[in-house]
Formats: sequence, C-alpha cells, structure tokens
Amino acid sequence: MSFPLLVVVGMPLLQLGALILLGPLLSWWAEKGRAFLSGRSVTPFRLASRRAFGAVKRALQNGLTPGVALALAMVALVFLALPGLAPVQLAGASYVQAVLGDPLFLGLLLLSASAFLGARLTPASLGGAVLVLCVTESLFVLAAPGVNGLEGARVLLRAGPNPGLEGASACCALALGFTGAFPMAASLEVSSDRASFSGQSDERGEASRASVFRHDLDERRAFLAFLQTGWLLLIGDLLLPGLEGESLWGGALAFLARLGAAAAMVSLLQLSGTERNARLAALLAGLGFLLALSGRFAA
Amino acid sequence: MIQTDLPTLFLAALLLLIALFPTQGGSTHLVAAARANAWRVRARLSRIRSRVFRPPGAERLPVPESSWTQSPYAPEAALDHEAFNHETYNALRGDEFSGASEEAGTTDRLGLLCAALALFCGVPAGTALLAGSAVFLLQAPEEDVCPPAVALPALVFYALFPGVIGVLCLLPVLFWPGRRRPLLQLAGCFLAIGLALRITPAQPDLWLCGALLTMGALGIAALAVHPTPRAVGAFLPLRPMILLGLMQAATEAGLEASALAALAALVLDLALQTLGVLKPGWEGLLLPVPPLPGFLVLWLGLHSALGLATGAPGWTPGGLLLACLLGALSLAEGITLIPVLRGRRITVSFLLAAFFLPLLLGVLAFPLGVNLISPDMLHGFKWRSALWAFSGGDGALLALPLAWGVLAIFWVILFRPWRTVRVAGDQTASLVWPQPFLSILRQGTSVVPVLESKAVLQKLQKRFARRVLRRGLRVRAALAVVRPPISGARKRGWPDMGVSFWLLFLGLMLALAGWRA
Repeated sequence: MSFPLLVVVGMPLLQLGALILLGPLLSWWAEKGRAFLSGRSVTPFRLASRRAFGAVKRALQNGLTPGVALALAMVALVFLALPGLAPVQLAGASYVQAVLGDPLFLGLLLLSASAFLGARLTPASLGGAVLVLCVTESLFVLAAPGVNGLEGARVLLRAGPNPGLEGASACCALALGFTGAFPMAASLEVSSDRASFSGQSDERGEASRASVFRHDLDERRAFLAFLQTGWLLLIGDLLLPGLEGESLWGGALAFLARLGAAAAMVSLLQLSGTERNARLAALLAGLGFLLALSGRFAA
Repeated sequence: MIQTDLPTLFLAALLLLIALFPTQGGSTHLVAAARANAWRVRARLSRIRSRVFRPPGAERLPVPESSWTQSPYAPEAALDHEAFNHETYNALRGDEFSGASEEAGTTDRLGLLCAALALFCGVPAGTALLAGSAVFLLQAPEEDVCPPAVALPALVFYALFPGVIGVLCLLPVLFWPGRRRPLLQLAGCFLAIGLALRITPAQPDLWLCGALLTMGALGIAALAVHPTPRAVGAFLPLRPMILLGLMQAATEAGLEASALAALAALVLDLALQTLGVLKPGWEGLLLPVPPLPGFLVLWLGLHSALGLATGAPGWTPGGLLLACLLGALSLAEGITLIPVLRGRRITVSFLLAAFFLPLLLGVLAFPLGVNLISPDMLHGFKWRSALWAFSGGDGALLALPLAWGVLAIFWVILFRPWRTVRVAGDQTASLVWPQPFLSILRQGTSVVPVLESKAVLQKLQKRFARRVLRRGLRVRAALAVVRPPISGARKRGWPDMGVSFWLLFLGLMLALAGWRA
C-alpha cells in the first residue's frame, strides 16, 4: 500500500464523523418528511437533532446496555465500510471499504442491528430483505465478474460505463425499498428482555419500572436515527453506484447527492404508500436479473 | 478395504466427537439415563416385532414416557410472559429441540459409531448394513422412520450400485419425513456427504438434480405430514449437498478457487452442525448473521455458485438457481433458529468460538482440497492471506477478522464494561439474543410473536403444501389436455393490458441497456 496509515484509517473515520453529523437530518426527513410535505406540523428539526446528539453524549458519558451498544457498533461498521466520501485521488485510501464493502454483509449487518436495537420487522419484510440482498450480491457478481463489493463496482464504473451493473444495482435499491425493511420509529417495541429489570413489585416499583421502560425507549428512538442513516447510505450507494466527484469537494457533493437521492426515494415510496409491496419487490429483482444478464451478454 | 483418505477421516472424527463427549445440560443422572436407554431398546425391539408380525394397520404400542414425549402443547403457557423462558419454549414446541440438550445415551453412541464405521468401510454391502443399523439405533421410539419396505430395497440397491443413484436412493432412508431428532439428521447428513464424496468420477449435474428433487420432495412431505415449526429444517440437509455438488462442478470446470470456497463452506457447515448438537448453546453459530460463521457459509456458498455461473458457460442458469437456493436455505435456517435462541444469553465462549472456528476451518479446507480438488492446492497457500480475509473465489474478499475488530472496539467504547455495575439476575447487563419479529398480539409488555405460535405456523405450512399440490395438479391437467385458451380479453371485454404492458416495458428497458452499451 502506497498510502500512509493515517489516510487509510483517517478517511473512513472522516466518513463516520460526517455521517454522524448528517444522521439526525436524514432521519428527521425519513421519519417526518411525509407529514411535512403534506403540510402538517411536525417536530422541528432542531428538537430531533438535540435529542439524537444528547443521546450520543449521554451514551459516551454513561455507557449503554450491551444490546444497544452492539447495534450501534454494527451501524458504525456500516458507516466505515460503505464507499461514501472517498474521492478519486485517494483511491488506495478505501482499503477498509474494499475488504468489507459487500452488500450482503452490510445489509445483513443492518438487519441484525435493527434486531438488537429493538426495531422489529414483520417476518415477510425480514425474509424479503434477506432474499433481495442475496439477489443483489448475485447481480453484482453477474454483471461485473471479479469485482469486490460496492467499492469494486465503483472502481469498475470509473473505468468505463457499465449500464448493466448500474441498472441492476438501482433495481436492487428499489426492491430493497419495497420490502419494507427500512426501520421506522413506530416499529420500536418495548423490549421484553427488560421485563425482569427491577425486582420490586409494589406500586412504586411499577412506576420506576415504567419510567425505566420509557427512558429506554426514548434512548433507542434517538439511536434509531443512525440506523436509518446507515440504511439510507446503503440504498444510496446501490441507487447511484457510479456517481462520484473528480475532486475532494466533488466527492463530498456526490456523497451528499447519493444520500439525498436515497432519502428522496424513501419518502417517495412513503408518499405513494408502497413501502411494503412484495410484488413490486419481486418485479424489480427480476428486472435487475434481466438487466444484468443483458449487460453481460452485450459485453 | 478401508477408506483412510482425509475427508473421510474428518467426517468420522466429527461423528466420533459427538459419540465420545456427552452433551452438557441434559439429564446427568446415571440410573435414570440407563433406565431410559433400556426402555428405548426394548421399545425399538417390540416395535420391529410389531412391524414384522402384525399387519401395518394395527394400533401402535404404548410409548414409554421418556423426556421427549412429555411435550403437551399448552397455548396458555405462551401467553404468560413471566413463565415464558426458553425451557418452557422447548417444552411447548415439542420434542424437536430437547433432543439436542439431552445427553447422548449408549444407543446413540453406538449409532454414531455405526455411522462412522459406515464411512470407513470400503465395501458397499458393509456400508449399507452399517448405515441401516445406524439409522435404526439413532431413532427415538415414537419417531417416524422409514418403513422397512422402503428402506430394505434402497439399502440393497446401494449395496449393488454404489454410484450417485445409489446414494440418492439412500436419502429417503436417512431423511424420512416426520418428527426427527437433530442427532439423526446430522448423522444422515454426514453419511450422505461421505458416501457421495467417494464416487469417482464425480457427476455433479446428476448429483445436484437428484439431491434437489429428492430433498425437495422429502421437505415438502415433511411440511405436509408433520407440521411443526422445525419442519422447515427438513430442507436444511440440502445445503451441504449443494455445496458438495458445487465443489465437484467447479473442479470439473477448472475453477479451483471457486471449488475451494465451496469446500470451505462445506467444512464449516458440517463442523458447525456438529458443534450445535454437541453444545446446547452453540446452535446459534449457524445463524446467517454477519459476524457469525453461519454467514460465512452463506457468503462462500453464494460466491462459489456465482463464480461457477460466470466462469463456466454451461452453468450460468444452474449457478444462479443454486445461489438463490442457498439464500433461501439460509433464510430457513434463520426461521428455525431464531425462535429457539431468543432470550438466551450470548456467552463469551460462544463469541470466542465464533471468532476462531472459521479461521481454523478455513485453513483446514486447504489440505482437504489436496484430496478433493487438485493435488497442487497447497502451492498457492499463504498463511497470512488465509487468516486475514476469506476469498469467495471470484475476486471477492471479506476480511472478517477486521470486522470483528471494528465491532469489538466500538462495542467497548459504547458499552464500557469497566463501568457497569453487575446486579444478580439483571438481564440488561448481559448480551441476549434479540427478538427480530414484530408481534401481532400484544398484552401489555408480553409478546407472542408470529413464529412462536404453533397454530399459525401449522396453518401456513398446510396452506403451502396444499398450494404446491394444487399447482402440481394444475400443471398435470395443463399437460394432459391442450385446450384452446380463453384469453382474459375475451372474457372481460377489454384488451388485456397486463402482458402487453410488461412486454413493452421489458423491450424498452432492453433497448435502453443496449443503447447505453
């Protein structure tokens, strides 16, 4: 590796920091965008961001419960491993992304993170998301044999246009949106594992237990912002795999554009009421297969 | 005539490992165990006697009260949240899982020993005899096993023609649909793989087609005949068979890297299944969730199938189909495992095993590959790259140790183990398997998830089996009589939009793709 260790470690950490800063905004949009666009009054963004950053600050001061800590560690790994911010000139800096940026790996990490955070999905959503992720992995290999995950696809698309790969990847992003695996705050449940938290059974014990539940739920709702950001990053990288800037600032712009496209897609699906539609997901997965095969036979 | 090659030794060593080391956490009382064993042997003998001397329609013998028969289904127990831990869960879901936590008895050990001997034995007749006795010894008294009228001809056929067809004939004997213990399923898996490994020359296409058809039929029959939540697991022995076929096909096509990836996945799969039976908490190792080795089985299998699809022109549709099947099988694995694991504690030893086992077994795949893939496998072997990143065979790399490291660093930063005050009985201080599914019924904080409710799942499975049957009948009717089609357009009076719209859409997309290219 011709790049110093500082760059190899620093670029992913920079991306991690940028995503933590952007997280509350994206999550606020994904959560409230529908109500906002239809003219209803929603929680202002500054309250949402204050809640999220306050939760992070408290977590760094006091520590978290092990399950939530594991979920956030998984999200952090996703933030590090997805190709986001790395610009063109520092191609070798994306070593972490090259060895970990596998769509199946990262998607299943996000699904298990949402399980550990307590954001529950219907069995159909979960199974559909797993199948769509398997299809994504297959299509990447099929459309561009020999590439290594999302980072490899980006390197390949830099070398020349590959419409089969781009189309298949975008189809997979849409299919992933149609499975309904994107976690929302409404899907957070009071964790049943906390039922034995406090041993007291009198009235005061009940009240304290309820407050513990409440606090726990609020905390996890704040952390859900980062999980949603991870999902948006994965969807954005799949949706526009070839978009990247020539310079450092261009790279940052492309990064923002990708996240924005993913947020727009998610809110569009919510507005049209199709965030959970198995037929459309299957249709888009099949279309992705067709595009990948046609691109492969055309090449 | 004794098989002493390395793959056979590996499989037999795993079998003997279970036979020699009794599982922990079961009934350890010696007298009770011995009495249970005596009961079981007697019940088997009387059962055989009844099979031989009575007509098949006669009533069943009274079954002795052993640990896995006391499993009344009590739905009201599920609603009581405080009592709902995993012990009640096991009792509620029937006998499927108590087999894993129960101590391996003498007959089980003998059965596993028979299976290992069947692998070692080089004479087909002896192998068939030993395999039959292994199945007989490993069954539980009230289990549904293959009736002798089917088993004996199949065993005789294998003894006469020990090729691919012979091994395929053995599959119904080993995996007869019905309630099963994990031990029997595991031994059957090892026998099928071990016997298929020694066939030269390998016929991967015949093996894959036959295994898919046979195991698919057996799995659907298991769903229809005996609908329990575990019945989805009847499809799971298919995964090592697919991996074996992939390895052989990739070896034939000259794709050594893909073959090695498939072999590593096969080794991992078999070893993790063994450990899941051996140690009760370790079933979770096979869960296809990223940092765990079960994910590696899925990833390696998927990439070797896709490497075959892209590398060998004749295998393009087949490889894609197998990749999709491997994904679906991993999903089935998750469906069977998640309800069992929920609420259990994740121990440190489990995490250590999940980190170190894939590294060790991934390295072990190289010497096995010398035997199975090509003799010069060890030439390109590098310790550092083998331990650092797993290669999918088609250029894809996955540095799992790096992922573990990053996860561990962030977890320690966020959890701060040194600041936690541990209270006895406090669930929040330890890592617990989560519940990923949205609940349908909620009673306060008590949760009855979908897959835990036996009735719902039974209904789903019955509906699925019925639907498959109905589709089959419809296909048969369509094949039998070619009738003039009545189009939807004529029936409804307006032109049928659906098909033409999608064809137009498809044409547009293809034109777009061609234009961009």
